[in-house]
Amino acid sequence: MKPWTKKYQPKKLSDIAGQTKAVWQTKSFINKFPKTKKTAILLHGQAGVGKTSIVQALASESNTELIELNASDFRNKAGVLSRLEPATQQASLFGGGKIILIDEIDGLAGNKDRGGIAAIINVIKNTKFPIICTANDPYIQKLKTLRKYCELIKLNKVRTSTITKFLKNICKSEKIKYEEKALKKLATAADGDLRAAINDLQMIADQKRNINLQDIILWGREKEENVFNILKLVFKSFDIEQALEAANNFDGDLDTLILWLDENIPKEYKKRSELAESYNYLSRADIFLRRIMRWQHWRFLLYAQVLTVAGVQQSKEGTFPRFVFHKRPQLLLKLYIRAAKLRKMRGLSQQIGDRLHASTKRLMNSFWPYYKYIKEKNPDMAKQLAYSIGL
Amino acid sequence: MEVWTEKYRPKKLEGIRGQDDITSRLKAFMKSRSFPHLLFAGPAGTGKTTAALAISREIYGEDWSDNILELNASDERGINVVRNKIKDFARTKALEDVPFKVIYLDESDALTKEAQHALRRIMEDYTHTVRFILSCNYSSKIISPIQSRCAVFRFKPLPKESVVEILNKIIKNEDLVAEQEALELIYEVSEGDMRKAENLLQACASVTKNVNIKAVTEVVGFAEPQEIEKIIKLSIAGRFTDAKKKLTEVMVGYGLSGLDVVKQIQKQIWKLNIDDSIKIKLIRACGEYEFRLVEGSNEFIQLAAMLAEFSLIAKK
Repeated sequence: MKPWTKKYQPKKLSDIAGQTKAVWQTKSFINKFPKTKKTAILLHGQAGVGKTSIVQALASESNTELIELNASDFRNKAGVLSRLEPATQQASLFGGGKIILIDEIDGLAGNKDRGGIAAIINVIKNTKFPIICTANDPYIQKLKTLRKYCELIKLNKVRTSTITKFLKNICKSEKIKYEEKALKKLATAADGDLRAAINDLQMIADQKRNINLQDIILWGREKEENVFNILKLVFKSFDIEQALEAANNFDGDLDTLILWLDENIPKEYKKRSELAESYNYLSRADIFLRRIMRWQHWRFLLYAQVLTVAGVQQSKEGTFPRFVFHKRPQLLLKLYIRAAKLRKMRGLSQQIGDRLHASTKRLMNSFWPYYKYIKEKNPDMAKQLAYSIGL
Repeated sequence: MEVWTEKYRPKKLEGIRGQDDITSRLKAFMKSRSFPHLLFAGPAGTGKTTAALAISREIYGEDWSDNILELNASDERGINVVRNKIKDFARTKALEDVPFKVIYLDESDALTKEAQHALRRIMEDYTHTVRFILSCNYSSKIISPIQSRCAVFRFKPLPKESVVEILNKIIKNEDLVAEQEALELIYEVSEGDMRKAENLLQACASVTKNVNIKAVTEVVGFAEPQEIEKIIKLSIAGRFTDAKKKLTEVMVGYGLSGLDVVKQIQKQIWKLNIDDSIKIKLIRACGEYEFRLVEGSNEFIQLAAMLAEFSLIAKK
């Protein structure tokens, strides 16, 4: 099962939802290059509005080679010189043009990367090919100098009606029945983040093939404001009382809050000791949650909550004035995809277990991996094998 | 085209390689056409199921498959399901000259202690009409009242010569050519698990008639996630975010369970080029987190915590 955000990724510029102006600006920059004012552009806008998609669609539509680098791949000057610089000088392998994409440039971490930004700027000055950077917020201190060397192109929030239309099309091609209002609500809750909306839709569709308005309440993003507030109190203060109070008023479940923290701890805490300490608390909180289920002893919830909120909060070894974009947990969708995959494999295993005289568990580790290889390399043979074991 | 593990599964006890003591003792039972309950203990892919199937072939001849019930303790939902299936099966009589039917219960050590006690009672109840053959990885996980009612056979991982001999036979029969070193590599990867060895060979053969080191390495790289080593190295280097990302990739991409990952990590740690005093601390952490997973904790959270602890241990 593929994430729908991948499956329905725009292949042509005309498929990009609701960014007409930015698409046009980006396209004309690439077409005019090198006769442009600047040699790089900086696409900016909130998460999930299509920054990376525009670049990918542009490259595939114009048959241009795309070199994709994630800013977290080169963490310092040396990294930039070894990975980015060569790409901007050597001609394309395929003879045509080339676009260089530096994704999430605001992801270059903290002070240590100062040399990194300077090196990137140097590369931008000398590049033979157009460079496109992406960032959520271009106005942060770290990108101050970089801004001078880039043409800024803003992507707006995707409009609710546009998101709704996109979701409808997915439903149609996945043969999912839906209530119009349900998709509208999903779109509104996404608040301009098309990717988030698609992720939400997939999660719900994994449970039900018929989506009604009441299904959305479960997944609504109204609670997120609440979560962001808790994250702020956890990561940016030492005030236990306040953090616990906010967590008490939080009406989502603790499991979800743990996933939020899991997603954002590595963005906030960089020291090994902070990471180990905070995850120690988080993992112990998780154990208490399981114990509640097992022993039906609900007082454990108290420990789970305190460890989650106060434990993670007290794990930091200093205050953090640095601004961090808190992300919603990506894990949730991945968990669903994995669970669906495992369910499918188990089903198939039970189907063939009799013929191969082996349990699901055994087939999972000593049959499927090899069958998958055969299926990829020699589909005909895989078909015959599948037939012989009654698949 | 068939799956080779079935095509080349020995039909007779003589065909089983690398377990000579066991096959000769079993053959003695076959002569008298009678045997007690049996307990086969040993790692996966060493011939336990094959032996059970071969026994029923020798005893019942053509109609063998009607007279054996194969169950898998790790797949059946609870002892009551097992009980009902056994009841149905034992209701009809076997052939006239063989007064019993055979029930093969694979992976019996997947049953809880309570379920094993229930199983013991079932064995008592049907003792006149059914012979049980139980298989397990570790006999110590089987309660002693059951052990004492069974003749116990301990299967060992197949030795290199046996694995290579079987592979060579398949290679000849399938018109393949093979480098000796490639077969030895298959043996090493399989660790004496014949099912794994045969599936690996068949995967190689889906690409080339010439089974060489390169072909084997390619299959192994595909089938067995090499990322595990990278995950440990990244976490030790303090690159937690990257390690965690890789971990998620492996678990989602390969559909590995958290337990699979911990087990593989634990194996890999020994091979790392780090101080022994650090190794032992990492292993201790593995044990702690494996325990938590067995208790049913969230795999992703626990494993992330383990990686964070790894990086702290490595720094000290």
